[in-house]
Amino acid sequence: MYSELVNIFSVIAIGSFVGLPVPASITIRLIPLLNEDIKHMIAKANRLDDEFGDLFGILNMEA
Amino acid sequence: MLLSSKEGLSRVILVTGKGGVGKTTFSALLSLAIAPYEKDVRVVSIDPSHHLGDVLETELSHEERKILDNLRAAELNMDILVENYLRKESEFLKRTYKATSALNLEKFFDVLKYAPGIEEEAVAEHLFSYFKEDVVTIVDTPPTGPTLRILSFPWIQEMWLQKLIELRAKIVGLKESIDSIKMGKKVEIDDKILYELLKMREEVSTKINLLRDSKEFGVFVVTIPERLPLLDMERLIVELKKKMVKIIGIVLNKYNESRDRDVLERIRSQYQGIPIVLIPSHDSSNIIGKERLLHLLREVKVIE
Repeated sequence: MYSELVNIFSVIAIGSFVGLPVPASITIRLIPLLNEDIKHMIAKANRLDDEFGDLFGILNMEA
Repeated sequence: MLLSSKEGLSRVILVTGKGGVGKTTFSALLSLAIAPYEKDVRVVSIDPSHHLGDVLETELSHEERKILDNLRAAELNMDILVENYLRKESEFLKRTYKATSALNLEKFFDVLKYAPGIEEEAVAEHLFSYFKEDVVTIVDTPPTGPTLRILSFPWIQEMWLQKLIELRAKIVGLKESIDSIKMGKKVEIDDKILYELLKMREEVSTKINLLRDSKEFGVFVVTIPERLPLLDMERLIVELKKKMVKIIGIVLNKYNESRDRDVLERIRSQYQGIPIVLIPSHDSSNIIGKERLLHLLREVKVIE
């Protein structure tokens, strides 16, 4: 749940760069603070085809 | 004076309505009408297809030009507004990401100028700069649709910020619970993103309050006695009332007393309390230059 929310937040917050109509002024103000969240979003995107990996990630378990 | 309003004029006055109803002519008329009563007046056009200079019979550009001792006019250039706005925003990004300059990556930030809605953001931001000055500013606008998008911008920002704040608060709440369980004691998270979002919402609320303050901001809705412009006016008034923005007056342009009495009566009964400015039917191609505008001004009637 937490992981999903962080992912959704990042996608919406940087939306103006990926085609969502969020005002660019909001994105620009948030970007410097979003480093960790964006890393999380990218990791999540990389695990899209790996459901077990995603589950372990959510549970903070190392393979 | 065109409107003997007891409250006085708003600091920033938007003149809006459907395309071709005479917004530019009225903006020019209004500026000439109030100039004798105000210390400093400015009339600017934000319509990309500018005609303010044509109506005032003066060549205008992005830089303000003196029309009378206390009246100046300009036709704002959208490209310059977007560039100025982005320069400010890009500087912020470039300062944040100093390393990118070394790699000559900063030019990639320039792509922001193509971000959707950036023009509305830039124009809205520029209009807010007028609230800081002790000058009555009359703004001649593009047709209703684009104008509403510019005017709605702070409300759109507020809506996005509200949703992002709700989502972020949920994230922070969950993080606090997870960390508290891990640490075995109550942990409070100081979330910089939530703080920034709340700060932005406060800034946007200030802007919305300015637009709702009749001393600061008001709108003239211009129409002509024809079906579509009248429908457009009705929709515009609904939107403005929803936003709680003051409607200074309805301008019924090209009014012919014998032909359009019914239209006037309908507007009067539908919008009681809003003054109506009647501009008599005229050949708009003839209303060019200060002298002719002042001549037309003498024929303008106001029903309060």
